[in-house]
Amino acid sequence: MFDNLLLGFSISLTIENLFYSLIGVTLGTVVGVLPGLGPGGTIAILLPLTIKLNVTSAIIMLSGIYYGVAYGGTITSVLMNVPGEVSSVVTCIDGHQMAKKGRGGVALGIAAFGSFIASTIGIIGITIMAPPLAKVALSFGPVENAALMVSGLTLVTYLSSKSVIKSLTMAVVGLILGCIGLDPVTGAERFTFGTLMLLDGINIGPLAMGVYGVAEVLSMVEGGPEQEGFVKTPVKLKSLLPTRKDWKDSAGPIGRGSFLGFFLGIIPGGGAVLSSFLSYALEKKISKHPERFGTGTIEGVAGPESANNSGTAGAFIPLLTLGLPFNVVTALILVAFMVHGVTPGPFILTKHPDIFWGVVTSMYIGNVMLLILNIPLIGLFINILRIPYHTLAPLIALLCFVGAFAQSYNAMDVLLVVFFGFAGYLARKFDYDPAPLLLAYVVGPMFERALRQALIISDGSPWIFLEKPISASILSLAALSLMLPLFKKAYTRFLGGQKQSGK
Amino acid sequence: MKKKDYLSGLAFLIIASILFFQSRQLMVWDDMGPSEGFLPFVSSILLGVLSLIVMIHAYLKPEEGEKTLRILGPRKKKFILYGTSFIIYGLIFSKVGYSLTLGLFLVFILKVVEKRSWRMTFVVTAIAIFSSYLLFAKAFSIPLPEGILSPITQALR
Repeated sequence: MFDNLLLGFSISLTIENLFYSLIGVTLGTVVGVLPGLGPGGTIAILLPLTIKLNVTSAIIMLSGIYYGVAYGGTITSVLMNVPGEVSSVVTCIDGHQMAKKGRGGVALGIAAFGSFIASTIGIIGITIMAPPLAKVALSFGPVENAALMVSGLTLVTYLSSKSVIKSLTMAVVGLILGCIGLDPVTGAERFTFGTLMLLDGINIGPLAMGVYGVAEVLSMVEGGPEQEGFVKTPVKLKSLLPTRKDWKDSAGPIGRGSFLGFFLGIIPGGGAVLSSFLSYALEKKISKHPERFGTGTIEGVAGPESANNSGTAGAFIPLLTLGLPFNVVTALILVAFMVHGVTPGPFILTKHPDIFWGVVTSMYIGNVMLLILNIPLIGLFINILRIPYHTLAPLIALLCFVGAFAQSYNAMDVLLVVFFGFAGYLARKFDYDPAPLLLAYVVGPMFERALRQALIISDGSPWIFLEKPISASILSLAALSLMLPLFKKAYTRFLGGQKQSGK
Repeated sequence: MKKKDYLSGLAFLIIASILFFQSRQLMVWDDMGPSEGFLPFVSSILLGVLSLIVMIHAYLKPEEGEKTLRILGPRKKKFILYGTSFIIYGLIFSKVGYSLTLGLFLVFILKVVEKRSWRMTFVVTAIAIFSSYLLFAKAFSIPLPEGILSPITQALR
């Protein structure tokens, strides 16, 4: 392991990769601060532009955006009560209250330090867990891969949204979109409706930029949330440093949040958002003074902020070792790998150890950069928030249009991004989450390949998925997770019935 | 809200039906096993079933929130103007050229829609055209379409 880390640092500490790491984390922080674009849309825009870079530099930059966003989202949550990112929603609850009490600087400071500690723990987790997990994954065949993908997709739809049915619907739409074009095996045209434009399928760029970038701009223009305005917060370095008591109160939440976030990041549908919510719920549950939550307690910031950062680290494990993304951002990073001709998965450690360890070690460096950027440069990031939406909205749209064109220099992709922008806007209006769509679109072709291979092996019998022990275990666990709330509901009703009859 | 779910369920049901008939033109299964039509066929059926469940679920749940279906929010007019400008941008981008389209787009948005001053409009537009050209065309070597300005840009070269 030590040799691998040395190899990784020798790659990530080159001037070129340090530069791209800095660009990534800075962009990530800016994107986290600005409402509207999000890491998914930003990575989608940068995807075609990273073709000119070598694969390691490209992934380092894109990964930097992903974990940088979590840092940036905290700033607007604390100062404006508006989450810059979904993973920072929970921070609004106590963080903004701390700002109102004149402790906004401390909230930002503890969030930055907690995030750094949590990310470091998360990255150590990747370093330890990834190699043995990759070895296990080598024994996976098409049956196990298909089972893992369908379980992952199902759990993501279940965990990511209020309405499971609507999320499943979006996932199926994503599968269908992934079918458009020529079948890779037989070359038959699928869902092209006789048009040349759809023969090559739909590029991920216009789809992602449309549903995340343009849709967000349309929502922003049409009527975003009311903003309370800034809470004026001193941004000098001294005001950002937590006191000894703050550290004492935060140590437990940071530790618990780090481990909770990391393990949640590994599972499908986990990641930063779920980690932050569960961490807040946990801290409130075990606190001696739960009534203080919501009034500006530092535990309510330290725990969730740590969890959402270690969650982003955990999300890299299934991507790098299994080649499976369990959220939208890692799905786009997977696309970035594939565009460069590298397939992440169990073979990456043997075929491309330089890429794997280069990316992992760059996360250590990126988190140091984020801590250095966030503490003294908070004032600069706050000023970015002063850009009015009427300047921001057309510029974000412009980035999406050019980013779409840059995919394959095809002007039709610009029209496609507008089309998906309206589709994404309507999806939000009708309470459909676009995340399962994008995930299913990326995973769909891999899933279809694995499924077809598995059914060919079994001469068309679907029972092979239950005959193979790994596949059966994965599917059973997924089914159990989906059924648990139903059992819980039925049990609660049963208990309620018992109490009534007991009266 | 019930109306939203009925509408969206119906829309997906129609899409599923179209896709189902399309997928029937493909080979679903052959001697080797599932063929190119297998996943499209199964997905279209799944989509149809899920859309029906959405509508049934809407029928069964109690009405909550607003009863009137409102898609557009308070800034309806701005939304329509922005949306229209996006569509026109996509249509004329390659014919008119990147820089001119961008200029027209930003002037329309900033001056006509957002009613900013001419000074601010021109400053933002000029900076956006110049910096985006430098970034995309020069730094990233993206061959942005020159459109109707191509005789001028070629003469300048």
